[in-house]
Amino acid sequence: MGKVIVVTSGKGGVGKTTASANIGAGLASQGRSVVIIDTDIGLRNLDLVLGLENRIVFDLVDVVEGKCRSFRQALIKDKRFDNLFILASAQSREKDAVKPEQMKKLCKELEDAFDYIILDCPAGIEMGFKNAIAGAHEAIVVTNPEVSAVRDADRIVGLLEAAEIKNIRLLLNRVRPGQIQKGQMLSVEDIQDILSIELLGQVPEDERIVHASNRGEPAILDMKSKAGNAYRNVVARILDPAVPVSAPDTSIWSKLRRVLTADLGAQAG
Amino acid sequence: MAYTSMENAIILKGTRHGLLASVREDADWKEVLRELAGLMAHNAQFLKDAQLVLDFGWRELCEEQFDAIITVLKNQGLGCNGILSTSLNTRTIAEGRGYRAIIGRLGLAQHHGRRLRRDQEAQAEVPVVAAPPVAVAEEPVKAEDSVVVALESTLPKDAVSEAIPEVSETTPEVPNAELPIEATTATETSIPPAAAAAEMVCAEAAGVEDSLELPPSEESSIEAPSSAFDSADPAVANLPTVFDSSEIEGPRVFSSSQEPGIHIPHYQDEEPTLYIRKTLRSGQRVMFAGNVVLLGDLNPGAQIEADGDVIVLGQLRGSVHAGCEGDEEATVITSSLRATQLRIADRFYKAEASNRFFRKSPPTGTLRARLDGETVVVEALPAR
Repeated sequence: MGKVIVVTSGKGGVGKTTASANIGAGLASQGRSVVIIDTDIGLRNLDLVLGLENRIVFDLVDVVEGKCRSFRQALIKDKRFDNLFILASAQSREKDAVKPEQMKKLCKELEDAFDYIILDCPAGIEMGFKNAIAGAHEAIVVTNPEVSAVRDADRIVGLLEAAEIKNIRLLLNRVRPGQIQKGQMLSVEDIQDILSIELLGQVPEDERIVHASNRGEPAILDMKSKAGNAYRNVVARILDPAVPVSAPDTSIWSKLRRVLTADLGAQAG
Repeated sequence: MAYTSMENAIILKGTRHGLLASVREDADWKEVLRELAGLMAHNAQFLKDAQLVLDFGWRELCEEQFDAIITVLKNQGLGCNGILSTSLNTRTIAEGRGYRAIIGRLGLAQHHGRRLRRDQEAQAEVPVVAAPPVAVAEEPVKAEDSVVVALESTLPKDAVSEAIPEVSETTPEVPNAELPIEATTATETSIPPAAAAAEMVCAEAAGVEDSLELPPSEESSIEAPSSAFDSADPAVANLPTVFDSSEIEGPRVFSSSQEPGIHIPHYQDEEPTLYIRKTLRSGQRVMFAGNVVLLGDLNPGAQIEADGDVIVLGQLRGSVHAGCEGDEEATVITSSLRATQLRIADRFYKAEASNRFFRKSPPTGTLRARLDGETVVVEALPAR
């Protein structure tokens, strides 16, 4: 039976859609069958990030309203992976076009057909959020190292806990290690101190990710991208929680320092 | 101020803003329905056109049961204003039918039933003294999954609330606006201005992030029937309300170093204490007519408002208001004070304006905030 994971944040613009696309593509590249559902009805853009806009025939609302024979007809196969599908959201409808029970039913059906069902949640805590979490087993809370994003994430975690979603993990996005070192940005420890949920991974701010999104190519396939590296680590951790979190490195010097201090520590010990 | 119906499966509780019906969780279902059907017959005047908030506690209701309850209420001209339950299924059913559902449990019926039984036994054993045996340390109202509850104090509150003005009114600068706004946005299916409602309650949760802060209504609705109803139930009528320590005899529950004969007040005299065994997160709010003990963090954006003391054993980063009904003796005790806002009675304590996120070394040790005259002072409790 597949796992239904909702990617959510509360605050907008923290990188939910990018994270959904990259994690989905990463899981598919590891041979898992994956479907990513864009639940942001009215503001669809998952298809853009994956470069699949021109293939949309049926969308999420069509599926729940029964306008197509089954969900299979609405699934769009990815260009790069045969085992990656997306279900686009409707562009011209409202959030209340879908009900939580319908999402639950759809997720149940998809569970039997796929290893991973990833739900890209809209910002906010209203209907769209309720729809997205209705059928989810697990959650990935995306946040940025900013007080406002962390505050919203905390609210979201509270709501997820109340909805009895057990496995809630944190994805820290757009981290700037340099700024954290200068004390201008919340550190990972500060954030975990407040949210106190398991850290799934941290993704550094990366110019290449913007470029990748605009081209419709997931950054996780870009071997030179720092963010892509981080997403590969995230995917590895989803598949095997024993894999450690990789810290984003600032520069060659900090890497060097880490190696040196580790050596010194070994000598001292 | 709690009135029992004859058999105690349901406790009606008048609060300042309305009526709460607490359904005993272990009571037989038929009994519950039967008692509910007799509600109106027992106090027609008191309940006329009332909107009740139903507290089901952890009882799991099926759809038929819920509908049956609503029908029984409707048949008597009563309405339901919302429910309180720790069961997700029960809440889902209620929400599916357009009622507001709040995660929580007061367990009033449990407490009351137990107390009545205890008192009846006591009366049977010690016929001369009307006092019950010394207080059993009342079981705390537990936070089930994510409880946020509040209940009117069991003290005769009318006098208190008249004597002391509403705190929020005397402190206009309190930035309390956040929650009400949220509540109004979330509660689009707003409930008609109900004649009755529970005062309590709290915001939170799973798709019920509205606080069930019901519109206030006339306070007078509560007062009338108390004597009439109490006299209907001899056990209640005979309950002494004030205890003199010298009268108390019987087994002691606290076998600690307390000197013999010390007054351990009956639970009815004492503010109840709410235990919360979880971290309170942004947007979650606990209002409680008693003391609150939080065995977790109070995150920024979360709130505790208590009539009595507040003890936070985790990180205190949110807002705390102790003695919110005006108790100037109330204190806040915590090991880490980084509160966004701390209030005692109608006074403020603001640690500093700087961004608390970046404060690396919060004060450590056990800290107590109390009211010293007009100002809130924070002092370290000496380690022993």
